[in-house]
Amino acid sequence: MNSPLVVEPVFHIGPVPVTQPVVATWAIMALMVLGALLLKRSLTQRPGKVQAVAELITGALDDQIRDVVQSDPAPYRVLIGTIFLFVLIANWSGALPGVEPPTAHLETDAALALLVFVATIYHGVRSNGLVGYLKTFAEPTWIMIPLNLVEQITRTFSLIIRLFGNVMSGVFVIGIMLSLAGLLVPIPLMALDLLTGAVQAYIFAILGCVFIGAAVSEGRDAGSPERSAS
Amino acid sequence: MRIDWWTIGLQTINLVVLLWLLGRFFFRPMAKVVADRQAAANALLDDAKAAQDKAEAAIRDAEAERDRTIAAREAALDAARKEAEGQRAKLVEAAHAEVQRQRADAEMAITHARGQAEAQMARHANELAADMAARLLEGPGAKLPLSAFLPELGQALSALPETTREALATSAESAHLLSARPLGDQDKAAAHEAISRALGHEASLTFDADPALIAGLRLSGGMAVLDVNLRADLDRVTAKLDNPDG
Repeated sequence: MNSPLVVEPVFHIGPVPVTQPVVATWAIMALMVLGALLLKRSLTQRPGKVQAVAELITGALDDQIRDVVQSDPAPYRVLIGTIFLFVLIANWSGALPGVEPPTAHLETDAALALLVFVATIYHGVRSNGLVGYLKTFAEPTWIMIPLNLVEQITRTFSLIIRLFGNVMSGVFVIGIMLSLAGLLVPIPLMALDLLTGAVQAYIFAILGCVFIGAAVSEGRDAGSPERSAS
Repeated sequence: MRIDWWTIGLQTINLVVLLWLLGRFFFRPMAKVVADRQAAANALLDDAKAAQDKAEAAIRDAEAERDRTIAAREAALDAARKEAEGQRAKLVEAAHAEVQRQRADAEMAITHARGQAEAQMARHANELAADMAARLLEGPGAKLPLSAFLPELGQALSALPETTREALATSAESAHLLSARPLGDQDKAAAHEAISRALGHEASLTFDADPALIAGLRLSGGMAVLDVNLRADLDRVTAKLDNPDG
């Protein structure tokens, strides 16, 4: 088994090396878009079972976003929902034989965290203006500016490392168990991995939501010291 | 450990593409269908609300109509009650008048009956008195001599109209002299003599006795009847008492 800390190119497109996580991501993307297209074609006012489940998921997502952001969830629904569904499916894809979850590699997690980081800045600027957003770094006092800047970086890295560590360790443990005990023994650990994957997907999405919500509301609640990004 | 920047870039592009695709084909259609359903539900609720408002308005109208009907019924009942009271008052008045009239009639009938009863009682009393007088007079009357009555009989005959006297005297049948008790021959002769003198003719007489006369004589012949006896006197007195006005 290859080290999860190293990605080897599967093939090259010109000078660009295409690694296994990218291929797996494409497969997951194809699956998700295909499912979305199938579902979209059968959307009705009287939902069937699949549509009811899809509506349940989007409804729960909306509720979570509304609880965290304390405003209309529509502007954040696509980002948070996509991150949650992608991370969930990517984490669970490890249960398929021969598939290594893309999230078990730092690059995918970094890309996800980068999205959250950019979205945080985008929504912060959009809702407070550039100056207003920059001013939030001087809250509660200007002395906090370096700390707030460092926090932006560290919390993004913590996102990356948390997801990477959890998923990669799951893959590692299963790999080790397989090499030691063989068939059937890793199954309980794989089930635990599914649970961990779901929890991590939820945590990643909610944390992203919290960061965006904090950026949006810090300008709104400027001067209220009890609110700060986690 | 080595970071593959190409992979980071490709994954970022992948994720952006995925964001766009899912937004386009999953989240927006889902949000739209939910919003449409919400709109339809709101429209239904609005329709229901409108229908409810309409129903409530109809209920209010019905209640107003009911109130109007009740008021009209009360008014009609009042009018009927007043009319009934008027009719009753008229009936009571009419009944009262009828009672008064019947009472007056009854009082009149009672007065009339009482008057008749009193007259009847008076007649009975008079008859009783006449009877008593007749019984009382039976004794003393029997002792009265014929001569006590003959002069009065003569006067009565004299008082008769001439034609009547003539008819009495010249009648084919004998005049009938009734006395209270049978006359002796002497008395018969005296009576015959007195009557003949009074008539101015020789009288033909038959004699008879009737104790009912009590005392005295009754001469009857032709069209004339002359009563000179106590019974006739009593009858006259009784008749006078029975009819004091006459």
